[in-house]
Amino acid sequence: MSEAVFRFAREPAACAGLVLLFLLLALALSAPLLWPLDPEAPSPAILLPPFVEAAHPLGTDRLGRDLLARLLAGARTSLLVAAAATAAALLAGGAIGLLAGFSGGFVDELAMRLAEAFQVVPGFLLALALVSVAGPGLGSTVAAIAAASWPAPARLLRAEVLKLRRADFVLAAIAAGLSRPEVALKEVLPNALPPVLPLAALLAAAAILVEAALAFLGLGDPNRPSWGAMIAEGRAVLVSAPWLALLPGAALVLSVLAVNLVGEGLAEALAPRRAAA
Amino acid sequence: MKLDRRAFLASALVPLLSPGASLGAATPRRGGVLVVAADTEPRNLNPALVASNGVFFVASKVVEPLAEMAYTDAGLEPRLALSWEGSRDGRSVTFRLRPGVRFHDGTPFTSADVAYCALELWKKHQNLGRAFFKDLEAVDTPDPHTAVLRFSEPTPAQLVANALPPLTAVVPRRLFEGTDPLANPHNQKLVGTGPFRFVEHKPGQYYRLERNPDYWGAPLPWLDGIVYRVLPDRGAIAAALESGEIHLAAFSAVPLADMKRLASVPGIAVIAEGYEGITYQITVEINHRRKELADVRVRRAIAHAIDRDFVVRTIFLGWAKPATGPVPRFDKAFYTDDVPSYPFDPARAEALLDAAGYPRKADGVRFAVELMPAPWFEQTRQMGEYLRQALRTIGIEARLVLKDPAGHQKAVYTDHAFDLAIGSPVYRNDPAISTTILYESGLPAGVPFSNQYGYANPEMDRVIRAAARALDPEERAALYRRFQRLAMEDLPIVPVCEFTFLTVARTSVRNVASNPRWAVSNWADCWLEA
Repeated sequence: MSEAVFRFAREPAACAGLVLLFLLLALALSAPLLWPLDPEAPSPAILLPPFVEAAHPLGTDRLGRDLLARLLAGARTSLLVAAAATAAALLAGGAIGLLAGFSGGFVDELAMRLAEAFQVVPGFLLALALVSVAGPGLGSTVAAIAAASWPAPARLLRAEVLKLRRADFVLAAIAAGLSRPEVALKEVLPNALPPVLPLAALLAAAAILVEAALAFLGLGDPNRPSWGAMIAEGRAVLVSAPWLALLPGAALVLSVLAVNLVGEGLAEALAPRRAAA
Repeated sequence: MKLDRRAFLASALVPLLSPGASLGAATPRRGGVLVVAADTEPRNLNPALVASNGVFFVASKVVEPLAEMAYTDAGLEPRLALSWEGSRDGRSVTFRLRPGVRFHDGTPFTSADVAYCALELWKKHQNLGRAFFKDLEAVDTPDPHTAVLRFSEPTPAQLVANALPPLTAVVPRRLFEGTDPLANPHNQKLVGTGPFRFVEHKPGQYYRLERNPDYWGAPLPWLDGIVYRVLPDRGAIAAALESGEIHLAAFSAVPLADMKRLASVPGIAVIAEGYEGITYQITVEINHRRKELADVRVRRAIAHAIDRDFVVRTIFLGWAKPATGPVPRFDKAFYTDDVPSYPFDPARAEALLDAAGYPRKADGVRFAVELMPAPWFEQTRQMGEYLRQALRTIGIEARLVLKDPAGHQKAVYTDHAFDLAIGSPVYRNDPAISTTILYESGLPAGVPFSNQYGYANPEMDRVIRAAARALDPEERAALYRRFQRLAMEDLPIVPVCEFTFLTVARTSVRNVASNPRWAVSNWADCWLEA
């Protein structure tokens, strides 16, 4: 494990990503203390450009709402949706993959055909369809993203389980009299996890993008600021007030970049063969 | 070109003062094709069946009504009818029709066409006509140029006259009789009497109209044709105007936040006139089935929580006026400001809510509501976001619910599944056309843009019914003043501000905003500088 940490630390891109991600998380979490302006409070100072007034360092939008406060609130939405959707996809997909790998036979067939059925539909279209049916909201956004992304962890975990099922230490555990669920959770799962970590990062990056895209199309939760919705609003006045679309766009690029870099760094660090070379 | 908003607002009654229609001594020039932006492509383009501004924008150049609004004292200008006169008992209105008019297919326009449209299209199928012409019994046609509309109940001639511009588009009987009017191909391939003939519609691309050389108003029209480029993206419309790809964008198709910048671009003018006859309002629609909202004190508290000046200055960037009631100021015949008003006063709002028995609870919230802004205008959505914050300051927690247009209409006007909504009703020249319907009770569920709020006041219903039957204009006006007072006392819905749209045009386009319904009128006198 320490070896992996060392390998990760040697990747400058991965470290940069990690720093960026930590910064984003810290900003998002401490937003109410750091910049306590209400992101939804309108003010008469509308369409203020950035770096003009100290009260609104990044300017204001069409209703005079503080852009910095809205960007920070948008970060919270973005990261919250990404974390919740990734966790849900990993839990659901992991459980299904573990079950399929261990049971084999009909259960395995069923689970894998189901995963394929979800995978043939592009993830974003599936999420779009689900949200249009369920109605916009934070819960439906998370559920839709999770529903569109569970097959990848399911297939990955199933493959790991199939690989580990015949490993000596698993056979030994079975011989020692452990029950099948015990073997699955105590012996197989911990050893199957390493490749799941980078996948989680990739899922989270995709979730940030899908959340922004849904909000851009007006299918996000209208009750909390979202970068996607901010870009959609700003797009209409791109020439008169370019900062309204550019700032949330930049925030979106940076956070997806950070999560992706971390994911790639993890994949490098945890891939034993390439690291050994 | 410099833009002075105050000058614009002050010039509301002097329409030709705006820069786009500056009073040059220039003489009109024949020729040129006007290219304008269109953002919707209605499935049914027949204005005799669908009376909506989206349809009129294209169709009014091809199919004409009996009369059009005008910036004159009479307020109306003849089109297919030369004159109209009501009988003393209010049961009939006689129209003298313009002779020598031909439809684009060469057949003559006669009273038989008016009779057919009135009885078979306007009365049976048209969204506004179904209610307005419900008492229309028969149309007599003593000769080809006289049509007598006969009503089963007394119907004020003034009301009929006011309804002429939006409700009375005439299409040829010959092409519609004996068919299912709603499935008739000429709902797309329009045939009318207007200054322009319908040539083609390429979905997603453009509509093309060409000059009608046999127009009754010769030498009009000046233009050789009009092309409507379908440009659904609002950002693209501003760019197309600046590059000269299009000449004109109506109905505030360019975002308001871009207007100031565009007005300073040489060769482009922003014109605020030409929409007075289709004044819109922003309203807070209230579901009286919610116990809290059925209390008039709570509704008044909501009205006191809204800073109308703020809404006008920010959401509309000054291009609107605070509303005093359901009738806009432009309508001199009916408007009164002698009504209860609810100035911005959050403290008073809170006192009203306390008195109504809804104190702030431990978490500072009195009660929670769902707020559904209509999705059709950027301003209705922004008003939703503003109102949520305004309500929060007086202790009402509002959760925004956004739906697509069809879903919104169903939720509010059919299922009544909302607490508060942001609406945008249109005032069409007379309270009886599309305004009193927002206040009268007993309407079946599903009638869009009507009182689906669960509000019922017998006195209100009595006033509305009496005004719809009052033949004397003075008596009608008095009844409608009473209507406005009742509307503001009971406050079943809260009028916030009234607004009209803006036209952005190249300065080479002349005679823009030449009447109060300009964008949806026939553009026969519009011309292009060389």
